[in-house]
Amino acid sequence: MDAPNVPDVADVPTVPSASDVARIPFRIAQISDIHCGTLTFESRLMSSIVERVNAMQPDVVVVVGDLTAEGYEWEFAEAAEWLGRFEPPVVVVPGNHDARNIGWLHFERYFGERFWRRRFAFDAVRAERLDATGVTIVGVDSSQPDVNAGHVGREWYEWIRKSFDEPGDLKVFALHHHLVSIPGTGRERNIITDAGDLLQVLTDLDLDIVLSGHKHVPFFWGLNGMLICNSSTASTRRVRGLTPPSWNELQIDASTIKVYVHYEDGRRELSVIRTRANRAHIRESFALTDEFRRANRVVVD
Amino acid sequence: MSSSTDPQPPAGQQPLRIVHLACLHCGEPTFDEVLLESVVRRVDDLAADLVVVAGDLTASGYEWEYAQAERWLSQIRARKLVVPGNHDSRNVGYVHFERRWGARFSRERLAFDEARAAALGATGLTAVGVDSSEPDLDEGRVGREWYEWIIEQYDEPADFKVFVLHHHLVAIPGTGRDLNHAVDAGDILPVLTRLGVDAVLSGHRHVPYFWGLNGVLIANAGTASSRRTRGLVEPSFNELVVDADTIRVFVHYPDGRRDLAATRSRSTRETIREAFYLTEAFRRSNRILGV
Repeated sequence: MDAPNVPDVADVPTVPSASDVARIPFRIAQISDIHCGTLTFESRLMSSIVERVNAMQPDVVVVVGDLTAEGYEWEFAEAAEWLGRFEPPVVVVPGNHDARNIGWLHFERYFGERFWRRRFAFDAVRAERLDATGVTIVGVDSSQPDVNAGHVGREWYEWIRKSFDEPGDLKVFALHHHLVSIPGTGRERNIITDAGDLLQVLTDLDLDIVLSGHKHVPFFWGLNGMLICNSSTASTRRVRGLTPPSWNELQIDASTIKVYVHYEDGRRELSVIRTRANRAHIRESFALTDEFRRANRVVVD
Repeated sequence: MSSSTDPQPPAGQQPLRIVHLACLHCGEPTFDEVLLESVVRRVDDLAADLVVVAGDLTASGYEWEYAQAERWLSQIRARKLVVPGNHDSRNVGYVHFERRWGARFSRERLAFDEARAAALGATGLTAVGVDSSEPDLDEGRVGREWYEWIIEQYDEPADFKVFVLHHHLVAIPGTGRDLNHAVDAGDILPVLTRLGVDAVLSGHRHVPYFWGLNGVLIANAGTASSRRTRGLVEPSFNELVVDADTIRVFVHYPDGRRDLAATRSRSTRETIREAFYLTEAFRRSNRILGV
């Protein structure tokens, strides 16, 4: 079923084309909860996203899970067909719906590894202008077949640490489930069960951005200076309360990380800003002491 | 005796001092009377402006456990704000809580005199405590019917604002799997961040830990007087020292150590807000809480 009020992409002036934006800022399209196969999936919404993302030409499209409704092969085939239309590079992690019915087998066949690292190295000009050597994105599978709660698991922490092996890179972590509760999504029943341990691993890594989905509501937190960026459902009516479907565009320049939320009517709104320039300042303004860490070996390294 | 080594400021300009205790667990097999006696003595010596007890005074909510907890806590002369924890609500123990400690949802306000207000950059302290327990459930819950009440309690905009509840709102590392979070954490956190709350004080997990979330200091206390500890973490309690520039948290350990554990600067609070904020457009487009 198509929504009545979605204008043609050509009519939408607020989406900048690739030529409008100098190719200096690093841009990420963050999309999640596409749910191919679900009753309320709207192909019109999905094709408008494809057109808008291709016009925008971000550096990467990060799809943070729930491509399907029940993990069936035909749903994966449909999702792969949609994601194949994106012109920029696409990286994908599975969500809880994708793992249902042993769907992770199909995930691996269609999209490859469930845990991965992808690096975008900057040339000298971009490195200088963005004050970073590149971007490292690490994606993990936080789903377990037929369990709705998220779980990464301690056996992966060391791998995660090692995967962020470029200290001068911007560090991005992608997973399906949320690590901090998201407002307006009902009661907390399926947060990552090892969120406490994983958040400590990530903040210790000086991670810049966490990308997640799952709750079908866009929201943003700043935790110890790390931007936590949750995306809504991109292409379904499985929304909550008054929040519409949407997806996120992240734009990173030397001084800020800005997140724009894209809505079905074509609006593209600046939604959150985290400065990069005073990141050190923020760290200074919230610090755990080494003494504390020594005295409370909360997570034993 | 306090092992404080802070230089003494001029009279009238003392930092705001809040002691943050949790999880006494009177009645537990691992309850350590010797340890609680030393905690009570140290806390009393600190002469804090406010002593916060963030729940789990008892093991199973029995009256004799409450009586025991009260005998110990009454030896601390400072003002107190006490909230119940999940253990205190067991066996309909909240009835005993109310008889001994009064309302399960409460507010304490301390107005500063002019000199102290100027020195601390705040008109006073507002501390609001809520009951996040439900009888016989281990998980937490505040409940939407309380949000408006919470907002109304913070009626002094220039006060230092503290929120107290037993359960954690952000997952605490090193405590196993996260199964008893406050179930409405997602909804209560933006209420607190929008109010500009300075510090959230919780317990429950028996591990001290600290997060900075949108500029709010989230402080979790260890277990003060039981051996129900996790992994290598010792029993402990927290002392918050607030001056014009910083909030510092010192953790007190059984051997008498008092270690600086976390600092949050107050002078850069505005910078932090600037460094991370949600736009009005976003709030309008996603009426997440319907308001």
